[in-house]
Amino acid sequence: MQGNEHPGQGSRRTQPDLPMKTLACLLLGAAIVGLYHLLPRTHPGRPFRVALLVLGGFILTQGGLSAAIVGLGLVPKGPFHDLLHELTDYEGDWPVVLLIGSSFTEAGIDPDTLAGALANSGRAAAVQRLAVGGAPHLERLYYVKDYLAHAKRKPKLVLFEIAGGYDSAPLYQVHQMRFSDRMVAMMDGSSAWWALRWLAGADRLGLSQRFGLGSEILSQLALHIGHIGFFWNSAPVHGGATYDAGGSPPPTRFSDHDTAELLEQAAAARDLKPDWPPEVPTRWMGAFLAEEIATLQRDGVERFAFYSVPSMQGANAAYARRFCAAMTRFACINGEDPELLIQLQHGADWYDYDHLKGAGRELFTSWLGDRLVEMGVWP
Amino acid sequence: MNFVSFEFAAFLAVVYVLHWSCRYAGTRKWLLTIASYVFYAVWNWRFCFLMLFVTVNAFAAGQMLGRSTCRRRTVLLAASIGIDLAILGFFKYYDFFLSNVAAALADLGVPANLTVMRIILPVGISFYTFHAISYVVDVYRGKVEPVPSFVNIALYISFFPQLIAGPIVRASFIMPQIRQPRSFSPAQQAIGVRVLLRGFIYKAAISDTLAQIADPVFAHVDQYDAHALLTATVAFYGQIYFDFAGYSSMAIGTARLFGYRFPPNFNYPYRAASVTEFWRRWHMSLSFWLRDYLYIPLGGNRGGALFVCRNLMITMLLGGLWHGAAWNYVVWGALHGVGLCANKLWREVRRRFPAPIDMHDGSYVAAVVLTQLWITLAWVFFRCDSAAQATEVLAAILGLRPHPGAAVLPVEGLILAVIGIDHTLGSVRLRLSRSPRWAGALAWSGLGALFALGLAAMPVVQKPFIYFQF
Repeated sequence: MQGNEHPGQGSRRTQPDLPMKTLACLLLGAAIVGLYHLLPRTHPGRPFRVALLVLGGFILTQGGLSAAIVGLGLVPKGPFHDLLHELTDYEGDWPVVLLIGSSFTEAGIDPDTLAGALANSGRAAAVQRLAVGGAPHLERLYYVKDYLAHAKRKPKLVLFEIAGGYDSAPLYQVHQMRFSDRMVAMMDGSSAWWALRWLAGADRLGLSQRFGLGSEILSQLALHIGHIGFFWNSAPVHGGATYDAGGSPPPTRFSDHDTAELLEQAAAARDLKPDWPPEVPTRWMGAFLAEEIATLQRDGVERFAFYSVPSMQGANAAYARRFCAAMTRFACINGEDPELLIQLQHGADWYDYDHLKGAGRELFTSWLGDRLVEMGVWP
Repeated sequence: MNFVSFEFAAFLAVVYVLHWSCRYAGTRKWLLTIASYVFYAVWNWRFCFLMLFVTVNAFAAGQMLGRSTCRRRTVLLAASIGIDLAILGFFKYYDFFLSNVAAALADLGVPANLTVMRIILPVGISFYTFHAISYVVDVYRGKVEPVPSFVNIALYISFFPQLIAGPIVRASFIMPQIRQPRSFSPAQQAIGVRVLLRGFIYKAAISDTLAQIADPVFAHVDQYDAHALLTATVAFYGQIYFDFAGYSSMAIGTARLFGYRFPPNFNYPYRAASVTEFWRRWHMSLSFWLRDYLYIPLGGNRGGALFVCRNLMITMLLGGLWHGAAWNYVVWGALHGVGLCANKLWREVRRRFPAPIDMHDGSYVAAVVLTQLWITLAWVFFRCDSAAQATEVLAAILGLRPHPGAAVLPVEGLILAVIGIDHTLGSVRLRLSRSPRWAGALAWSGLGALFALGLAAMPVVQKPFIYFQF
């Protein structure tokens, strides 16, 4: 792992909801075997015609499967599934504020606390957090579309997390979790297109790396289109799913002294990680964000802003600074606020170098709420 | 490299295109041999040298047998087989033997400091050593001529479709095919695709689904109730069939794509009405190998009933041990040996005392049920980690010991129905050589459709084939 996300999150797998899923798959298996044996055996004839027939049967069935999946209301089951179920169900009167991010947001922001802070401005909000550990941008966009398609109430304000690791190497987690049910589930045509676009423009990548990553992307796209494993890895859109989130790694213990020192070093840091591109945000990232924002705008989202969660790693702090400096179109709230950092100088506030917990999380969330109000992002 | 994986699909596609692009038969054989070594090296390249050594041993023995006099031939045969068995014994049984000796000495109160070496078991060693032995014995018996070309032997022993888990193809069966140039035939390719697809469906759509029932229960036997153990046992009964028959089918189909015909390895074994019949339908390449290279040299059917039973028991005990260096495999083999002996004795009784009335149908059904119950009982020993665990499972299922715990959905009936569908419809053969045009179109587009359905029904990440561990 890159050291800036929750280790281990990426490799979690969906647990088949035995035994009904098993029963369904067994019945399907029985039908397939029965049909196989009943298929007439025939001479192949002209190979080209045979190949066309096999391909035709395959494509037609895939089409039928797609229709059945839509008809049955099945969606890929993963860490986003239960989350989406909960978020899209909201029908209250308050306008929705949606946070989109990774484990930094998942660990560092408490939606209730943020809602309380926003309510202090006189205008209450329902805060929703669409954030999962180890989720690359491609996966987030995939589920943002899913969210928009099913949300009973569309968000008014969307807040994007700034994270140097995810922005600079958007295929890192995709490669780490390659051929997992999670990555196959999100690798649709749009995800593959953005992934290949990044590959084409990325610096410092060798030909073999490009070839390897490109093959992985296309293979996973093929597996996605082929609905591979879909019956195992799917659940009704409004049904619950059992997902093994796995045990979190043990928290890192920091002394107050070490925390203060690390935060000080991070605040003073100017350099990004050596393998991150110096351009912040990259052209790819700029285009991707534009696409993400346009997608949200099409569904009536009016306001956008960016924020970074405080980190004890200098590269992350430096990246957030550069990102906010470059972001002129929307409000950008850098979590590296000196006054906030002074209050976060307790080891107990930190889960590890990048993830807040307990009082630290509450503190940062309130601070973020106040900044959103102050900057007029939440009027 | 799992047969049901993207890596294998890519590997197969590349080798297939290269193979049929080659103009000369010799080049194709070299290509397949190199590809097979690459296939093996993906697991562990170091053991390629071991396989090469086994190949050189077989080749050299074959050459020398071709030139030797009668007396020296036996010595050569013994030496070559001895080397193969020594390799197999060291890698597969050394630790098992040592730990058992240590345990026995400890029981006797003799202190012994025997260090277990934790030797890595080379994948497929049981299969390629048997291939090597098959070649040398067939040359000795004059069933095949000594092969002058090293690549022919290397290809025979390492050919990747059968390298990891068989089928164990006889030298006398495959050598003529290796010698003759393979020609591309659409009919052969069609059969290959069809058989390959069947294996894929067995493995991906059914075996791995059954594993979802059996594996969690057998992993924590103490946490499940007696009915759950029964369900898991029935699930494993289906799983091992669909897994191994699926693998064999994929191996046979893959070989056919390259123009090689392998003998069938499974013939609906759960229709067997006796353990003898079961072994004529299950892992046929192994059972025939054991028959021809072990059972018959031991004396086979010649002699009295006790002598025959002795031969059967020795063969099956060694057959059990061949599957794995553990006592539960030995017990599994012993149970099959007992089943074979019982059938032998029963047939002897029936021959001497014919039944007064014809009760063919009823007795057939009873025989099938009884045989399958016996097979299932034996599978419990095969699946469990130890003989003690197997005894616990059986005692719970038979109600001899209370076994409280979690329940699972009782799907035994459905599992047996899936096996029934396969075994019943599998023997229905619709041939359409003179059928209307649309029937052919239906057949071929149906294959594509079933492949699509199989993909959707399989879990994303596949479990390795059970027989890969042997």
